[in-house]
Amino acid sequence: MEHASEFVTMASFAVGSVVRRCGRLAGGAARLSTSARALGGDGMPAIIERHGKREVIGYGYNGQPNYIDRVDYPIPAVRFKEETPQIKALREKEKGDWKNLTKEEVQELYRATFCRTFAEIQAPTGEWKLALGGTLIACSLAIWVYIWMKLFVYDKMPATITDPQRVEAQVQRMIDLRMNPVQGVASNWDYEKGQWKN
Amino acid sequence: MSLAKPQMRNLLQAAIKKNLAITAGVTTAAVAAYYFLVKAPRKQKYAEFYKNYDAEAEFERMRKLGLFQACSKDD
Repeated sequence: MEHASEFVTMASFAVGSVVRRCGRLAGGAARLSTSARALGGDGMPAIIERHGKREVIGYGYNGQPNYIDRVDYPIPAVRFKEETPQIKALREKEKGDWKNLTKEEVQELYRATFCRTFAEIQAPTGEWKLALGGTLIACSLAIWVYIWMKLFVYDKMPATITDPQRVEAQVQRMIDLRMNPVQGVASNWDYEKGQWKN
Repeated sequence: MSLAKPQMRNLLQAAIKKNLAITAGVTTAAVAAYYFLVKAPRKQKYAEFYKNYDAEAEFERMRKLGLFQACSKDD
């Protein structure tokens, strides 16, 4: 169990560092407390609940002014970061020819509006290891409970199915009556020789 | 230097087509496996059993062993 959580943290370190950065920077400038439950991974949302001074840019996936990284609804309702004078200047520059923007400026504009890139959203988290490990642990606990039940709760099996003489008589009757002669008990008996087949 | 341009449109249709192809393949494989590994041998075994099966002889054998409640052991 400890190793599983180690692997999870190691595997999601890259995503986690980006997500932690996203959570910290978004809430830093505002006075209000933005609760950033950022979990990362495909399908699990990174939600910032109150939008403060961040610009509303659309309807969002449910009409609320929230930010969320979703692969199936990629355009959030609010920008990710609040507006700074640098970003404002870049937005003006963005209205011109995009070839004039440097790579860093493009990335800065992107990160001002979005928390993570698609690659970061869809990066594997290793959560499956935790899930599989937990499931197997639960299964093993169930088996331990069964062992305890068998030792301390259940009665012994009745003689009708444990006594070797009775079992032999029952099997003999099955062979005589030719029960399940094609694929079952009697199919393994050789009637000419009077013995079990191979 | 830069990545290849990702697919921008018709993502759902492409995904659906791929899923349908995989479904067709897997179900065909499953049915074929069941047919050849389960159904055909079972049919063969039944055919072999009933080829030379004499029901009357079997009945007489069981009757003489005294296994029936409605028919007596003696002739």
